Amino acid sequence: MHIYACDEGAPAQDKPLTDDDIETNWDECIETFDAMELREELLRGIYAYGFEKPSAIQQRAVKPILMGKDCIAQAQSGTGKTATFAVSILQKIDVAAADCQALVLAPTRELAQQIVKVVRALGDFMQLQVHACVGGTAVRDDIRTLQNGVHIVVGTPGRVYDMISRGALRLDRVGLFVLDEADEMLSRGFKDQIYDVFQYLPERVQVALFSATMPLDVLEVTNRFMPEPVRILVKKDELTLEGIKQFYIAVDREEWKLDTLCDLYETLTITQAIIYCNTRRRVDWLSEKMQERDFTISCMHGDMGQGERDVIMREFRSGSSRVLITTDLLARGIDVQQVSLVINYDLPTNRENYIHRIGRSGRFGRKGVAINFVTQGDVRYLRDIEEFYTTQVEEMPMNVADLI
Amino acid sequence: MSSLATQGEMNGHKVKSHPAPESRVGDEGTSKRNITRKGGVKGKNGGGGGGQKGRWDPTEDGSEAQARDGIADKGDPNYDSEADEHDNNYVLHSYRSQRRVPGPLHTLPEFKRHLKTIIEEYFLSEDISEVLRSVKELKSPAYHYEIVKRGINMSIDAKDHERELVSKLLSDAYPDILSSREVCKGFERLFEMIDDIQLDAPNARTLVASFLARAVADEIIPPSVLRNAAFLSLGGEIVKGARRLLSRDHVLSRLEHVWGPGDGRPVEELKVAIDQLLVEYLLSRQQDEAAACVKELDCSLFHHEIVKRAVKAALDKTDDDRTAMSSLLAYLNKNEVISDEQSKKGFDRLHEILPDLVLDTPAAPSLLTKFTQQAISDGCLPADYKPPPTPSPSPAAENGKQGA
Repeated sequence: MHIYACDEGAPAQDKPLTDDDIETNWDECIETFDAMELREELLRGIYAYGFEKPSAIQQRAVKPILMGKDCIAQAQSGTGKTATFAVSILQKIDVAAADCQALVLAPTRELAQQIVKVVRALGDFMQLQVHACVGGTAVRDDIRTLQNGVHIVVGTPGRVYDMISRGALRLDRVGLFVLDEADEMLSRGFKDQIYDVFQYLPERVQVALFSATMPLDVLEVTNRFMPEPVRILVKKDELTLEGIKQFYIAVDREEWKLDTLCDLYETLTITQAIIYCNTRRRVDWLSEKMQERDFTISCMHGDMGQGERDVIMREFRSGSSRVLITTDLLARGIDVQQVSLVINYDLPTNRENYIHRIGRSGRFGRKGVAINFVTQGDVRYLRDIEEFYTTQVEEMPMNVADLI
Repeated sequence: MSSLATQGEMNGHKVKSHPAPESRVGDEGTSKRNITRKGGVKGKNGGGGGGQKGRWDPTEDGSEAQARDGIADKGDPNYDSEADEHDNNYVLHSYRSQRRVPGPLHTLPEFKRHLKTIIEEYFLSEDISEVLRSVKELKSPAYHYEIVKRGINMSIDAKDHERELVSKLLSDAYPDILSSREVCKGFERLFEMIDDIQLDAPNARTLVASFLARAVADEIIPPSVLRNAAFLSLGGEIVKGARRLLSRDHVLSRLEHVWGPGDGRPVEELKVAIDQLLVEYLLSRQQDEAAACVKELDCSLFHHEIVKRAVKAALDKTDDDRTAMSSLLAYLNKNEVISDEQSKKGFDRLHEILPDLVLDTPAAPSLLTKFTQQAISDGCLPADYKPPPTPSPSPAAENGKQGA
């Protein structure tokens, strides 16, 4: 991760913000979770969740938030920002009091639910009530849950404001107010609702705002509600195909893919390999066929829970399994950066998936090999991918084993 | 259970071919399709539509179709049974001739859960046939309208690309998986919960109106639905919004692209969209509008193409235009729309094609140097940016000559 150099240590800024003012003004890093002086049960939750070392944004932003400072963090998704505010909230919360003490606003129902999942997982060893304010549940149930007392509420601005105006949600004990993906919230038309929610918050509420970009409407919010913010900018490394050797094997017919894969198997097991199919059904089918032919593979099934997936992944990481068959959906959220060979058994029809499968973020800088099985019908997708990423995918040479 | 599916198909076929039994659905002309669809939707009166009484042309004798169509909704908890005789007769008939049909294989909550996973995977795999197959396997045709409701609802949280995927899915699911009346029913269910959805997504009504208009343009529901009193009373503003969309000029081609340039279109078409926004910018000089257009493209890893085309387009324009283009690139970079990596990649590519640019613009080398210097001083490029070596001019020049 590149962190933008800071030009000043003092968090205070007197002049009003302009769009030039998105430089970092806080550069203290805490490099381990242990050093963050977190409560015991939270620390357990963090390690149990699988975190080992704080990400760049976590290293920088947790401390100032815990110190009670307003905080603007410019960070994209995938940088660990959710856990940043989740950890901060969990550290600050008093579980003995049954009041809502932290409010998180998110742009979509889906994101709100993801946030709740992370908060629950990290707070697994705390007696915690977290509530996702999203549609789909009966309003009555929502109201009852809120009235029974929750510590943390996560929701879209519209939904949260609705609960406030129904008298179901009281915010006068909220100490920390988090706006996640503020730019996205504003571009989805939530401006009024955000301002409405603000009115119900205590005068001295602490605000933490996360945003991938800082357009003027976001700066307006920060100007208005965050008098002396700490600013932190963490840039995410873009995924790149540089250093990845990409090959294709023309398989005239779909049926020939299996034989081709079997021919390659020896090569695969030189290192570790991930084989991508486009659907769960294809994964099931392919792993069965491979097992029938006595090849050792592990695979992710659609009906596996997150726990089972983690086990499979751990086995794979430790090297006890060498070939993993999966889909984009099943592999989502899994760090597969160390795998040097990726086979696209099915070429992804979605361009973004291609780089997610085989790309590397700059900091790893590892080389890798990707092999694409391409049928007649896939040719136009492959051309599209080549042009989109201005990259070359060449026909696979005979000596591919030497390259891995 | 297969009997129910078969029966459903038979129904579909029966209804479709009712006015013109000898014709095949796939080959029918528009007028015929409209007639048949009337038959299809007509069943709604007799069956599951709920509040749909008297909406279709009563002069057409569709009693048989009505009765048969009604059966498909037997297991639907929302099924508002009017206990009409045809219905009962038909049930008896089917019990005699086939195995017992206990209704949908799954309960509605089960079906919804499966459907959610199916659609999540579809958003990544873009494999429509897999969706249709998985839905068929659930053997719960009575709930198929949920595809419309849930697909649209899920896409509201996502982006234009996913919305396009849902529109395509609805279109391809017709008529095997979704009949016109099921599509309508799905929309009606959405109308009923739109206030709730809108709390979480302020633009939900506009989006649903676009889905509705697109469904009409894709000929999966007849335009007359939008004039139907019952449909209107549920849909209100949404239906009117869809009618407005449909009343514009060249409506069909516009609705085909109703989700805009971010709908996942191929690279060639993306380039056209990029050129359009650049030309518009040179005329309007509105940086924020140009930035909004770039964001709409939703292709952050293709932004190198924008850099390349922006500079290329400005080369043979006036100094004024070139300055404007430079400041646009600076604006996009500063606002985190175009990343540093993408800026660099764009300029790298420009230097690589310089021999070709010279053919049309002899002053290209010095102009490109100027652009590069400007970009460095604007911070788009690192201070130590070194352009890649320009390939020797001869081959490109010769190619150019051959081309000319």
